[in-house]
Amino acid sequence: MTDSDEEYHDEDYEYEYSDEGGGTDDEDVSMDGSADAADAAASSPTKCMPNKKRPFVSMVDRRKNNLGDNPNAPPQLGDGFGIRMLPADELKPVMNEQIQETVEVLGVPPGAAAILLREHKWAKERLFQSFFDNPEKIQEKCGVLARCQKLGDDEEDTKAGAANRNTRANAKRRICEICMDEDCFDPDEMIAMPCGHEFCETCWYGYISNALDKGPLCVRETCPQAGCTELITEEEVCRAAPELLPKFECYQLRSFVEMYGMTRWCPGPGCGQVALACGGGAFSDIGGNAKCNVCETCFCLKCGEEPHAPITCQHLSKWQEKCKNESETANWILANTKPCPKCSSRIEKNQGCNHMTCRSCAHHFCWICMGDWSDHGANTGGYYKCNKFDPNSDANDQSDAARAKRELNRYLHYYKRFHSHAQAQDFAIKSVKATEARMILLQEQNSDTVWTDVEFLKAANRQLVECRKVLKYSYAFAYYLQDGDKKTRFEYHQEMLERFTENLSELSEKPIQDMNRAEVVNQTRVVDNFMKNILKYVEEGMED
Amino acid sequence: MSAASLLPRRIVKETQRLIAEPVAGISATPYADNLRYFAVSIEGPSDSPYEGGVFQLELFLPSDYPMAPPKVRFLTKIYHPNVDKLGRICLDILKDKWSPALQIRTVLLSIQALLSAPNPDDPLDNAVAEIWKSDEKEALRRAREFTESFAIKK
Ligand SMILES: [Zn+2]
Ligand SMILES: [Zn+2]
Ligand SMILES: [Zn+2]
Ligand SMILES: [Zn+2]
Ligand SMILES: [Zn+2]
Ligand SMILES: [Zn+2]
Repeated sequence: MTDSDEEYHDEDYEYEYSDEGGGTDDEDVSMDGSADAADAAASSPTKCMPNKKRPFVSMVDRRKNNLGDNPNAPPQLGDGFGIRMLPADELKPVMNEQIQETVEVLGVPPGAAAILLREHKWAKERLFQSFFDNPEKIQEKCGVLARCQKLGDDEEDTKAGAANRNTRANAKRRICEICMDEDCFDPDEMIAMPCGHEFCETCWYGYISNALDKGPLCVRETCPQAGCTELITEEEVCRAAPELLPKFECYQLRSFVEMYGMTRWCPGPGCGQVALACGGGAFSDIGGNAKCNVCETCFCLKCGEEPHAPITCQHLSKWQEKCKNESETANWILANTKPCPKCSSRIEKNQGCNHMTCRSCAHHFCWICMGDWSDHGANTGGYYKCNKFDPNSDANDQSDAARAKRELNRYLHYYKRFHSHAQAQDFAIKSVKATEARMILLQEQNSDTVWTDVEFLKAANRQLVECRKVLKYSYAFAYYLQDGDKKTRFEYHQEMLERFTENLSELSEKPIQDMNRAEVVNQTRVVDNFMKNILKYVEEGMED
Repeated sequence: MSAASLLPRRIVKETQRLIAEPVAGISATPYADNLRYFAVSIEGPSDSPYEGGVFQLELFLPSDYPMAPPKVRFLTKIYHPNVDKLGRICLDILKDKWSPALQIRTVLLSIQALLSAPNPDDPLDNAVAEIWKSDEKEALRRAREFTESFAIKK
């Protein structure tokens, strides 16, 4: 162990035994920062939204270290950046503002502007640049050439297409090449694209409703004419199928939200809220997390996943891909029951804590390594070994098979712990709800207690959710860490966080009558501080 | 003609035209019991290893035709990089490049053109395409052999 490790260890020691709260006086333990955050946000000006009378609802942490949904985290909105959670409908003005500016700068019709922006992922500056380099090339590539060229033509030509201009006088009735109806059509029964291809109203309706059935891709539908690359817009939809226009516009907006760098859908199931960055640049640059004001889902603004510090978005998606590919191998190992190492009776893990007690023989063991629990606690002077993977066990065999086996074992080592904390996290989420019920019980037991005096239990459970989540991702993070001093240090800190978390888990799962409030409050704070320190340490590059 | 009256006018019209003005080397006849289902035969183009062969295909017009493309499949075995063992055809206008302004006639002409100009870079049968790219002479020989055995009536 290096000197710096020793230093850190001394600090932990301090955390563990400091009791600044004085046991019962917990004024410095913020139980719920969200109310403060909402206040702070309401008073901070937002730059890009029209000033509607809507309360600022989301609690957001603009820092990268992922504490935005930590109930004990202080509000972090003073830096001028803001996020708003809005229903998707209210993003229309944002989208229209982008379109309008493009119309003005490029001198193209709105329908074409929307397509040009979309084909450039709504990166306005990039579009402007390539457009001015070669307008026709860009218009052609994006399928808006005829629409843009047509703007200069006579107004009277808007209805009939350019191709028919010469023949219009002598050909009164037109043929529709889709239905080929031999009765033909009056010119006003035909709808033309800017490219001049025209079809009867009925066929247009069929074409558009068929395109909408294809889903989100309908916004990239071309002219019905074979080989024509001109794209259809809301203009044609409005003329041919006005009742389908809302659906079409809905897909347009959806595509905008998905591609625009300043918006992200709330990933909550069935949730239609959108996070909108107000100033400060695209999410891909500034990162951070948001919490939905409707379904309360927390998510990473860069990738849309659950906040996942300390691991990066890129590594997380690699990890998820890996887990998907290895799921069959991993599953048999991760069945939800394990035999007691002493008496072999099957034990189901039904609580969040990894400290298991066999119901048949009362043996105490660790769920992760199946080792004796007495080897795990600090009081025995023992070492919390189960987060450590030893790559050197049977390292001498250099055959491909042995190497593949070692790599699989390496993965399983991290995956088992990742998975175990994921389960414990789910359990802790359920516990937050269960705690509310226990809080009522506590109050009934002691009529002098007021509601806020038992909030500590809820705070403890929320802290557990946070810790389990960070621990979970810390194993995915460690999987991608190079062996070396940094990794050794990280795993040491991870081990400490794991120990503190198990400790808090155990304290808060005690029967109500045995619960020590001061102990729980203190451990909640210790764990929170420690977790934040680890995340900060990772964010700062894990330098000494 | 009660069955025909249920057919969209466009299909009736296309069918009439296919029969009245047939395309050289291609025939398409609807089945009496299902007017959306066509028996198709295409003659192998003269400049190709399919020369002399007559290839049977089936063509079906789905209920959303012409908004959706027809479904076409070779029934005669054929050695071709863009046709798989089940006779399915890799052709852009039968998929994303379909337009309702295209017709049965244009589809069949495109298939005939595909016989003249196979495209091993966009293969459906990888094994065939591999040989086509690495040893075209051998590929042409096998294609002729298939034509000989399956597409020429003796
Ligand atoms: Zn029509
Ligand atoms: Zn067109
Ligand atoms: Zn939501
Ligand atoms: Zn992310
Ligand atoms: Zn036991
Ligand atoms: Zn263990």
